[in-house]
Amino acid sequence: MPLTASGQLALVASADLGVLGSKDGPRINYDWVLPNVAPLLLPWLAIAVLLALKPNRRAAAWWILLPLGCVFAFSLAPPDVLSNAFDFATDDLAALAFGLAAVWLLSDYLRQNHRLLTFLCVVAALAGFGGLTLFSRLSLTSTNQLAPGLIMLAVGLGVTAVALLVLGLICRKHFHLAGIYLWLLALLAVFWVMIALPFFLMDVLGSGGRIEWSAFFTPVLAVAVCHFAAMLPFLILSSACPFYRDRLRSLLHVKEEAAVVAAPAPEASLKA
Amino acid sequence: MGAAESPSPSATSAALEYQETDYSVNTWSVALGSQTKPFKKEPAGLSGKIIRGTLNFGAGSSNSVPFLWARDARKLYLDLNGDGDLFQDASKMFSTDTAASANYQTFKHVRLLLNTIFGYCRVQLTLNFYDYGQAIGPTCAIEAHSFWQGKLSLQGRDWQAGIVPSALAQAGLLANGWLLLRPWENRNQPFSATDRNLAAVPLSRKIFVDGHAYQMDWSGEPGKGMVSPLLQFTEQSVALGELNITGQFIGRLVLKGGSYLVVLDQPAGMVKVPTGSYNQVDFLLERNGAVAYLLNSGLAQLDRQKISVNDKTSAALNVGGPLTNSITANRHGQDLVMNYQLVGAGGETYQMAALDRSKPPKFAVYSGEKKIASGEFEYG
Repeated sequence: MPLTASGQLALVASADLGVLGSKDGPRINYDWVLPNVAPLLLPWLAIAVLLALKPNRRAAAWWILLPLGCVFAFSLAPPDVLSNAFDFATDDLAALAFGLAAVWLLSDYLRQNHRLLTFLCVVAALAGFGGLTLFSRLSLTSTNQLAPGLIMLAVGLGVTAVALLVLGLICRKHFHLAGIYLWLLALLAVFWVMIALPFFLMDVLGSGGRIEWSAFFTPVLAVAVCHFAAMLPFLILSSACPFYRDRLRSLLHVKEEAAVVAAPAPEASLKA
Repeated sequence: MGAAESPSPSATSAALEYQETDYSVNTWSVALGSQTKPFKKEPAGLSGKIIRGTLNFGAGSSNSVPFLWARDARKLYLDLNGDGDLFQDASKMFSTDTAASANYQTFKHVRLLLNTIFGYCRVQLTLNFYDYGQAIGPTCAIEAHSFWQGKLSLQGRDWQAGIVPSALAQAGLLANGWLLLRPWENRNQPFSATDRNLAAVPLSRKIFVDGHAYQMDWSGEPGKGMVSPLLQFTEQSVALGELNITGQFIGRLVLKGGSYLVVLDQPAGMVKVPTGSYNQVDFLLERNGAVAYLLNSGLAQLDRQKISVNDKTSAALNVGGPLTNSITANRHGQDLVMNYQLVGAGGETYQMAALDRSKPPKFAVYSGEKKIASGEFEYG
């Protein structure tokens, strides 16, 4: 429904019934009250609070709104193929975007001495802000989507955190942004396939080996590509903005000296 | 109102001919008896999962057909003569598409000679075998691809009358089943006992057709080692009452559960039917080629348990056209969920027979006179 519509609405159905009836049905009245959109503002308020934190009190920090806005806008008007796949797919995408924005804004706090501790903090931030976003959006729609939406989000956020952890290990010697893009895409694809593999094997056993690989894995890879597409704006921001490039380097546990954007760093400098 | 004129009993009969079809005229499931012991002689070279058992077509053990389903080889062997020899007998082997799933396989053109209450009768079946593991066990769904039919004249009108095989349960073939009864000019149209065209109705000894009550009998005529069924309609005298049908365009109305099975074609306004209480009503709408099917059982939709017809007052049946495009709406969060319904005169719901999924029903939302939203409904 349009957000501005309210009051008494008249609904009319029409279909060609031939000689069995009229094309247009009678007007059915429905009293429509505007929905409470306040819950939708909650994730934005949370991001505003994060922007007010001391490490983020600079103009460059506000660039985070650009990738966040891109993914959020996409989630409001997704292509049919995505919105038809799962009712909660776009909500999960938006939740992932808010989770990533929070991780980027909180990276100074999330970064710990040990890589695994950083991973756990990233998981907590993703879960907290992603979950908040999903609850706020699904509270306005149907509650029967909450459980499957949460499960899918939990898996997606888990994959995100593990991908960032492994990415940090891979890039600890060669922090190359172009390489990070490709590695991230490959890692997401591998992790999603690994998650789907047990289900595939169960189907293979159940059907006597008559399951097509492509029919099963094409949607899985499509999910991986969508996942990457949601992360891509944040990676581009980290490429373009030195403030966020440092944040990404910090999250991935790449040492300052090793940071070379255009070319792999010499091994000697990594050991310094 | 009151009793109809009582003519002297006159009988009309029709000898029915066996006819095979490329479409299914009825479907049902059949129990599979298990058999662990191998056959006396089995085909050589079979590998993979082998399922042995018995297909039970009713009427005792005379209609039990032992089978061997070589699932991975996608072959079915039927021991048609019961000698336990399945070795190198091509007439007992049926194959399916080699690309068929291991769990679900279809075997077409299975012609059997089954024992009926009158003798042996022919039947052509398609056997659909399922095997989804031990929890469920193998099952078989049967499609009948043959029936018996003939021309019958009742009160000067020609009908195609026939018997459609049904679940060949305990009593066996032809003890129960479906009566095909439709105008002779429709005889070439495909039909199914389970579809909503109502061309076939349950076999009944007492039937009321076209304003006349009949005692219907069926028997078998022997010949060439098998029998052909014979249908006989003998007119009966019966007390009639009035039924007022308020809607229009009813193509066929079937009332069940009373002393007579009532079949009325194009009933409109006040019609006469045998007195009694009917607990099931089925009908379809038809006008100039446009057909609409009732979505669910008529009485359930009308929130009625039965229709009682007596010879003193007229009973009302508020169903039929014209049809109305309608919407039910419910709020789900910020969404207004709208469901489309095709509604008849009594609030009963229908579905158009010629459903063009590329042209779904549309909706429009107005605030005052201004259209603020519009779109198409999605099937599902």
